[in-house]
Amino acid sequence: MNDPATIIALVVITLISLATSAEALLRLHGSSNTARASAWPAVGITAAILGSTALFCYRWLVVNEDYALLQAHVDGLLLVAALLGAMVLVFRTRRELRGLAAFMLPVQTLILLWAICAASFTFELFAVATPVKTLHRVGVYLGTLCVAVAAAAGGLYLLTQRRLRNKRGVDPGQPSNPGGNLETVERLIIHTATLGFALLTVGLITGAVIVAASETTKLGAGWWYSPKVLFALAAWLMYAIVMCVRHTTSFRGARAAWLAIIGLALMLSVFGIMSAMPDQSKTNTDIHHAPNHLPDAEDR
Amino acid sequence: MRILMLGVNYRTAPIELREKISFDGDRLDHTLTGLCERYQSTQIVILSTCNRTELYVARPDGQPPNAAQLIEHLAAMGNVDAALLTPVSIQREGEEAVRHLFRVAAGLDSMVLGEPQVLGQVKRAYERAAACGAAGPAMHAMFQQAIAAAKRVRTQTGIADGRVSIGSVAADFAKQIFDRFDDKTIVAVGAGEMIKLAMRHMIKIGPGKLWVINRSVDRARALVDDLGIPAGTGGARAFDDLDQLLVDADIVLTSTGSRKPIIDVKRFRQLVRRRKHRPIFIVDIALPRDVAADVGQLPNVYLYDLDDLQKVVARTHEQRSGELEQCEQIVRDAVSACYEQLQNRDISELIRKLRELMHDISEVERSRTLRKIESSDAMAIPDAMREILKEHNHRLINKILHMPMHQLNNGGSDVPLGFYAAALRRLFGLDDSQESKPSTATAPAPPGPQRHDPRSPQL
Repeated sequence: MNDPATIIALVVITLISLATSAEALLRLHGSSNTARASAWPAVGITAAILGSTALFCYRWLVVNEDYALLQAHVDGLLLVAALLGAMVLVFRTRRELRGLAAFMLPVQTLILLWAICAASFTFELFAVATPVKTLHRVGVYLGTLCVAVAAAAGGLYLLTQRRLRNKRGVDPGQPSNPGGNLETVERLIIHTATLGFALLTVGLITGAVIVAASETTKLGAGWWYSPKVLFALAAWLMYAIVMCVRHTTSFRGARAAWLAIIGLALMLSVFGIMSAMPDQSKTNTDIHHAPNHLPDAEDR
Repeated sequence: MRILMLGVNYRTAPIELREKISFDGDRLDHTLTGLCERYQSTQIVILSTCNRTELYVARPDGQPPNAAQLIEHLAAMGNVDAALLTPVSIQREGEEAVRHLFRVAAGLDSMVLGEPQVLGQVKRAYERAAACGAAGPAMHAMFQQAIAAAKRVRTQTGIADGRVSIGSVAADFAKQIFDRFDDKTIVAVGAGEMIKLAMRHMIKIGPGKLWVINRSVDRARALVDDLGIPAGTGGARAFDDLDQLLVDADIVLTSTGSRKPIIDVKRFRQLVRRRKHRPIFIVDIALPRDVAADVGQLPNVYLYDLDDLQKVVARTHEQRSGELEQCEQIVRDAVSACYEQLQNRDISELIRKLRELMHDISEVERSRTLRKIESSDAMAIPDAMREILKEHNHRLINKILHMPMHQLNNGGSDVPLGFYAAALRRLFGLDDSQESKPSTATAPAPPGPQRHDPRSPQL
């Protein structure tokens, strides 16, 4: 069990994020009374960012005794949530990407909900940090952040496209109009997918190196065809395709958007599988598992 | 000062007449200068747009120019018969003239309700007049407040929201598909009036290439020339090039007289691969339609027809009409405030003139009295006595004028200042035009009936 302060703070931040997400979704749906400029979304997003960052730093400097970053899954999820919120704030300053908030904020809420679960139900410390393992975690978490943004942009693309094709909710100046344009959103999908692809490649290679170097892993003996590895490879492949959208004729527009969304779903599946997978080893060489003999593991 | 507005607009005069009496550039400056030289104590601003030519004049009471003289001047400038101009001209005086200006500046009198261009045109007209020295204090107050009120109307209401022309709506939709246009190609199919109007809006978004395709290449060339498309950025093409242009195009505007669709799904599907699945925005403003409806079902094709665009235009009109009452209220308040300010300025001037008149009369009477005393007594009156007499007159005038002046200055908003001003002018013969004071007059001259116009307030 994690420390109670972390869980309480996480619940508060998640509630703020949930309220901000609801407001953004209502605005997109056109049923929000605050269709014109309102300070609330910016305040809510900022509060969620500051809360996530403060909690991340608190865990890093106070809870984690050896002052190591990313000692548990909850730390990684907090980092992703804070960065996601910061990106929403940045996108809000650009008229053509303002509609992304309605897609990114729910993702942030989901990540924070997951962080609550990771902190209270499935809490476990990562194995001892080595440069390769740190690189693996940074690659995986920041890669996940990028693919989350790509998927959110994919959602915005599909919504805008659907409205343009159905000719509903696209009147210029209409409050529910996300205000973006397909070309900018498609470019964002490709850029974030490219960055995510690079980071996930790093995560995948370092993960393979770690698993190959260990004698026994949580993934079992045939680790290379385990669901985690296969899903990770599938997600990696998705982003490889999205990256090539500019150069291929058949993966433009809506298809690129769908691929970005499927890529995120696969990434989340990888995390889900890892959390649900029964432990097959108790060695300290595992990627995602701390040695059980650490005396204070349960206290953190 | 009397405020007068005289002019013609799209409601009263046909375009053939309006274009003859429109002013721009040097012609406007020349007209302003000419009017100012001819009517020296008059303030004039000329607002000349494609929809209206209006003269706003503030002149001293009883002085020229009157409406007939202004019409003659306009007719002479436009080389048209004044008799033609008189029945189509509109005249407003006093508060009505001020209200007209405020409504025009706010776009409430425009052909397209709430259109924004007229505010810029009002600003430029005022700046032009100010630069020529034709706009005096009354015009400064009127135009500055009209511009401020128009800005309030635009920001505090939804009168300026939305688009009101097919071309601008199409351009707005294009901006929801594409981010930049300098690398995009626009193809216009047809060379009629509808295409011309829509293309004028499309040119504003700055496309990289712009082609006009028509069965008659000569008509396409004429349209290219009319739109001023430079040779390097497009031109006219033969109708046989349609397929190739559909491959190159990012935006297609089409309006031909064809009875059957010229682009059907079979034809376009063959082009999709050659287009490398790039998005395409097709605006079909033809009736009957030039593009089969099922083309819009193809991936990355955004097909909009006349109905789709007109729905947006209709919604905008509906939305703007709903804002009209709020706009009129803002204008009413602003006009009242402005007119009151102009009246107060006028009253202050009248008070000053009345006081001067009284003092002039008292000075004349004092001199006569002194002369009589000196001639009857054959003795010189000491200076101290002269001063006492002068002070006596001064105090007497001040006491007599105190109550009416107080009423005029501090009477509150319910005081009919216009009526008082008219009464003062009439009773004391106070004329804005009187340059020289009645230094030798023994009594104010009786007001001439020609100075009184019972239909208009005396401002």
